[in-house]
Amino acid sequence: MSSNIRAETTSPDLTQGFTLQGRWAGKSYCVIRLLGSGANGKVYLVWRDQIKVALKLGEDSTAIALEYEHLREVAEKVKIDRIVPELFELEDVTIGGRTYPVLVMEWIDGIHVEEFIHQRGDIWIAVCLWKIIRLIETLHQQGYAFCDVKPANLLFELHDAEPRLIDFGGVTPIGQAAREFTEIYDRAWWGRGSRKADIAYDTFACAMLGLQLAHPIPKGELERLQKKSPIERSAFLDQQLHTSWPQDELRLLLREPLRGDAKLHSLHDALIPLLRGYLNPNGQLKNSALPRKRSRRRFDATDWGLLVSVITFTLALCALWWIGTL
Amino acid sequence: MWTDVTLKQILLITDGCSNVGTDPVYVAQTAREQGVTVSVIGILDDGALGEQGQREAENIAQAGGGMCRIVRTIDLSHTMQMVTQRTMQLTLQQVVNKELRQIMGEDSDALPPDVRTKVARMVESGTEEVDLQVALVVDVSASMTSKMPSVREAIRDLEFGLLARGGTHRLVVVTYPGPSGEDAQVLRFEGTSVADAVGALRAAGNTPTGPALFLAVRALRDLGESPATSSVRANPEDREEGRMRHYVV
Ligand SMILES: Nc1ncnc2c1ncn2[C@@H]1O[C@H](COP(=O)(O)OP(=O)(O)OP(=O)(O)O)[C@@H](O)[C@H]1O
Repeated sequence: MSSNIRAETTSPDLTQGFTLQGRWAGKSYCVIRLLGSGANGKVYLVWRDQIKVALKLGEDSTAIALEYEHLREVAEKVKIDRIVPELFELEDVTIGGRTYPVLVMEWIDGIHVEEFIHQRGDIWIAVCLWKIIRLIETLHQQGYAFCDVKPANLLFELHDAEPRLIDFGGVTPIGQAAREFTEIYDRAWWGRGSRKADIAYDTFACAMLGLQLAHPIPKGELERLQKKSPIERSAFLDQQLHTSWPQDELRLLLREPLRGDAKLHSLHDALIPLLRGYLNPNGQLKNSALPRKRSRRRFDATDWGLLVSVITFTLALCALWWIGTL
Repeated sequence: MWTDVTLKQILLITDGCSNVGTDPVYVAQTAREQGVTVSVIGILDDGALGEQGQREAENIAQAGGGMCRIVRTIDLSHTMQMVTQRTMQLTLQQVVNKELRQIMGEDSDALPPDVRTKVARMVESGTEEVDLQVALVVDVSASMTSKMPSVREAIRDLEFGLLARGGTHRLVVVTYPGPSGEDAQVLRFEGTSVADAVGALRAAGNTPTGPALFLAVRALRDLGESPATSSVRANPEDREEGRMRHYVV
């Protein structure tokens, strides 16, 4: 729902080997492949000199210029590495006689959070959430809210399993109205507060991300809720939070931040005992907490099914035998 | 810079094609001449939009200087937000461009990136601070019946977005056709949200898009004369600081 809820852009499809020529800085970019697309454009992996970088090809030059500005401003204030993708240039390129605005930034070689958790097992949900929160807290310290927290805007780097934020189009000074958001991660949509960009707004979205990862709301339900009032949506959310989840500790812990007025660090702190619970005294992940693949768990379910059928079969045989002896 | 600026927009939401009254494209054109931008959202699912309706939607938006989006009901809420926001950006950008042309004879699209980012920032702070007047023109003819709950919630959602802004806003809703044979009506509402009034609609009749747009232009003109109700503002200190941050360019 998060990605198809917006009309995708109509910026052109580029094939491998296509070369773009920057108008201002004079660099050229050779397309390797498409990385992804969203409401503001398509993102390509390209060669810039001898390095691979990400190039966002947009349509609306104001939107692309603003994203560049947000990235630049945040990068300037946050002196810590790897919070913001490294920024190269804001450019214009001409394709088929039309000019398109372009943003060139660091390529983040990673996978989306759902896939990350799918690979490593559900126990990583809390860990991921905790890491994401730490990242967003650094933005808050500089007076910005991220606003558009959702899986599509996060990548986990392959080499060190650390999350990176990628889409800074929604970054808003705390206190102003959120400009970019996605319904299911939006506090106001759920009737849990305003759409003002503040810390609790991001807290809500992070907690919702936890919910979506641990106990996702079916798509059909979301479509149904679209027609309901925020009060009804809020009641639905309550109901989700009062039925048990596979990871029930997580459910209990997300209830408060999903009220809509919680501080991000309270969610951060609440996660710590849970994470500690996963470790044994030697600081290693407990056996029971070891990352399990989902496929493995599916086997377990099948095993149970098998066991039950074997027992039923045996009982039936016994019954037959018993009838025979009568 | 933007505090005395008021933007006026009309947002038309329809799933069909006009069939009675003045040509909506013409009304959109006159609206634009009076400083009102007209944008259109055409709804696709099981409606009568068709190719003809889509073309009309595009023509209205073109004549009205706004944008046109053809979407499914499920995308309505997000699209309304996006169109309102982008139309504001577009209008402000035009204001800035006009001045730029006077100063340096160029549009912002032709500017080098470092100047363009500054312009973009001005536009961004404008979308937060200007006073905004929006007239939603909602088609309530028979085929819209099943979509009304979504429309109602999308309007409520739009109000949330407007409330969070620093600038003031006014929202009027015009529905067409009117309940007792008239072309269109301006919704009156009591209580907190105009969305609640939308719930009580009965969908029926013709599709007099042109006359409805005309009524919206008039409603916006009337608004201009009455004082704006202020939206919930952040505390003044916050606001000042926010503004300063923006103008340090
Ligand atoms: N720097 C990057 N490195 C690697 N992949 C990226 C990078 N930036 C974007 N992507 C990929 O492209 C996709 C779309 O990018 P992004 O979210 O920035 O676009 P958008 O148009 O702003 O989308 P949205 O609709 O989410 O606002 C991302 O989900 C991601 O998969």
